[in-house]
Amino acid sequence: MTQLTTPPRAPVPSGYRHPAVPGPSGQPAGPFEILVPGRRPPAVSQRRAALRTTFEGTPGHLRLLGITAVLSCLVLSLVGFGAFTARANALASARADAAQLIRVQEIATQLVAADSLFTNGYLADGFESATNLAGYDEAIREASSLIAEAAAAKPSDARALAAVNDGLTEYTARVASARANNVHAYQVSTGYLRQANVLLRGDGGTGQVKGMLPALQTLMTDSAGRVDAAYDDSRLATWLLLFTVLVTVGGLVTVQVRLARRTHRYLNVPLVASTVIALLVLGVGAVVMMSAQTQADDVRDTSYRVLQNVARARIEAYTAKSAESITLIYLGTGGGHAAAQKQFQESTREASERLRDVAAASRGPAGRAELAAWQAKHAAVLKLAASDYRSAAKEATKNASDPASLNGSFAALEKATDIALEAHAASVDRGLLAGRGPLLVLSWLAILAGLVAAVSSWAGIAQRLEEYR
Amino acid sequence: MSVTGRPPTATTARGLVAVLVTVLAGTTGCAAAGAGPRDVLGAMQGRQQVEEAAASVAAAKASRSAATASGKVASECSPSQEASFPPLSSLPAPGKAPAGTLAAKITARGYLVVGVSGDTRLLGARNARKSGQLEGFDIELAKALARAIFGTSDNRVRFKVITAGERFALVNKGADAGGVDIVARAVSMTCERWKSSNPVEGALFSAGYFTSDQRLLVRNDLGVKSIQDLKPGLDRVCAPIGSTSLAELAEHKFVKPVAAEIHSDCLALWQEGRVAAITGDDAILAGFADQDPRAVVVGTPMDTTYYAFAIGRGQEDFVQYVNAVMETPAFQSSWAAAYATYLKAGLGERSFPAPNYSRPLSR
Repeated sequence: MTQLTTPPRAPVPSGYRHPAVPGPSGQPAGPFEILVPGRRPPAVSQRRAALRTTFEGTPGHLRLLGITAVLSCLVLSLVGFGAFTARANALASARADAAQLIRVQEIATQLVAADSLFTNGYLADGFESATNLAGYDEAIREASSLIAEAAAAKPSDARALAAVNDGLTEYTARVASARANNVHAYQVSTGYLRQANVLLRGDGGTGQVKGMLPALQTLMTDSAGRVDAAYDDSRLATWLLLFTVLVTVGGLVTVQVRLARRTHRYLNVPLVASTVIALLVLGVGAVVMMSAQTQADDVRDTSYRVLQNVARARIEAYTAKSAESITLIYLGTGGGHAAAQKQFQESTREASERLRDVAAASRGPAGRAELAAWQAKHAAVLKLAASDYRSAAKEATKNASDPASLNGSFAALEKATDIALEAHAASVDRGLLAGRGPLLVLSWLAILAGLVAAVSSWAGIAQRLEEYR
Repeated sequence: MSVTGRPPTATTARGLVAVLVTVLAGTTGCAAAGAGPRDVLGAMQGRQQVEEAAASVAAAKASRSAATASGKVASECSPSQEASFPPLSSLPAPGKAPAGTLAAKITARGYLVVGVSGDTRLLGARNARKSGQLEGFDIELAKALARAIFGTSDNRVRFKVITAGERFALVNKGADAGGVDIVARAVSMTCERWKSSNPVEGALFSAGYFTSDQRLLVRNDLGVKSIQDLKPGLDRVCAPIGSTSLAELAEHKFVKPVAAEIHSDCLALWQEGRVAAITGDDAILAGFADQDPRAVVVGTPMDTTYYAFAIGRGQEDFVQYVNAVMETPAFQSSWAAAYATYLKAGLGERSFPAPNYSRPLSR
């Protein structure tokens, strides 16, 4: 790059004009500045001199105070807007991620619900009830629809959800094969039942594909992490607001103090008005922000936590229901029923602990009694299976419409947890949505207030400047 | 078919876990046993790929060759695996078992507890079309035993569906302790099982009641007549993990062994086209062929196994009792009827195996 520098040059007297330099045609090429190395262009010096004059003396000082006041007010516009928007967006993110978490949990719930219906129907040796078949279809349809919905809602989850969707296609194919062979009393049906189970629950360890549930669990963990991150981001907004208060109010107060010292006039109405506007917006903003955050924190500590426990309890309950049917299937065919029964015990224990937390947090029964009733029925059927397998299988496949049956007692648990789930899901959504509207209004109000305060501040300084003319 | 002589190479294959399967998650294949607690139903995969571990197969083959050449196995397996204890010189009349014997305890109890399979078609399986009742060749033989003990089998047999892994533990435990009196579950007599002092790994055996050959199940439209006909693309052969059938595949280097947790898993993989063939005892393969009209059992026997009733350790008198029952025309008539009902269509004509009673009593 070529750089032209100006050499030292004698001061140019006022009124001096640059000589016209002839062009190639001999005619003057017009007035232009000849840059000579080491010399400064006179206009720069003129501008600097003018600038120095502008900020010299009392008027200059007043102008500096005016600029400081305007900048302080613009901080209110920009940083205030940022602070309110940041909290609103963080709460919106928390709400969106919580919604995604609920969606993914519901996918997992629908899958284990479908599996519990399939395995229970399998016990009926091909005479699966129409209610069971319809329930299975509905659960699969719901899971499939939610997978698409969740992928659209969170594109970053789409890839993992596509893999779950692939797994669902394979799972339903194995279930269809198991059912078809079971109808013919072909023992290969247990092979397909085992395949379906691995496609659902395979932990991806040695020799296993990663099943749909572990993949969904990863997504749940990710979503929960994003909710936490959004809460952290939300708290950052508090610091932004504090910065705005310090700079805007501090700046305006400092300007007024220095103005009073310089002019010996203690009240400048426009500046005071600016300060009041700033204080008003920031004060109201702080209250709204704190209120929104408190509400969001409450949601997280209450509804959100309860929701997580209810959702996990439901997933564990359905898993235990599948394990119950598989235990009975294997008691009849010679599979690993002990492992299945162990799974039942582990899942019901986990469900019970989760529901205990729910009961403590929501001060309601939350399905614990129903869980205990179902466990008692389960134990009775298992005891019967030891002496009379066929009667036990019959008892285990009785229609859920009979409240005294094994399936009936599980249906009661389903109903109790379903009510709790819906109530708390709605509560989380409402709680995280509540503060967002006022915060967005405040963010635009901060811009407007900042601009009005800036104009008012300059007007206040201009009053004093006028007195010096 | 001889019941006393068998190829030495086949004998040496016993107990060799010759194939190490490497499962590539996300493709196809089968899984190792011992999966995590969440793995309720086992480790079979929807999409898996199992490849043989060449080194392990080579090691198994080398071990097998060396043992065969030295005649080590023949000397270790004496008496031969199919040899049982001599039968009682005279079988007591039903209900008259000598006091103090297991047969007398069973008589006093009023029923015989038999460990059986619930999903091995034609041998022991629940028939969902018959209210889930157990039926098969092994089931009928167990009833024949009950008839000898009680004079009738009606309400005198309690079947307990057990897994392959439970069979020795439960029979050694005994029915009065929550186990079973006897196991009729296509149990192969092997030297290791005779000798093992571990109650989970071995037991005593009656005389063999059936000889089953290890063969191949393939699709009937492929023109495959033996394992040698398998070619690239049709070279994946399934067998249960830890089975002698899987070990036997090590002899055929062009075959890619695929391990499944149980036999039914192999049939599911075969129906899905993920393996070209299944290897195993032809009595079991006949049960598979009965579930799929495209299946045919082919090939010359790669190995021979001897099915016998498993009886708890310390119950030599009951082994002798059972062997005496098996000598009776009534039992052999029941055998013939059961064979004709369940296995003849798939395996052709076979006769009751000649017994080998050359195992000396310990007392």
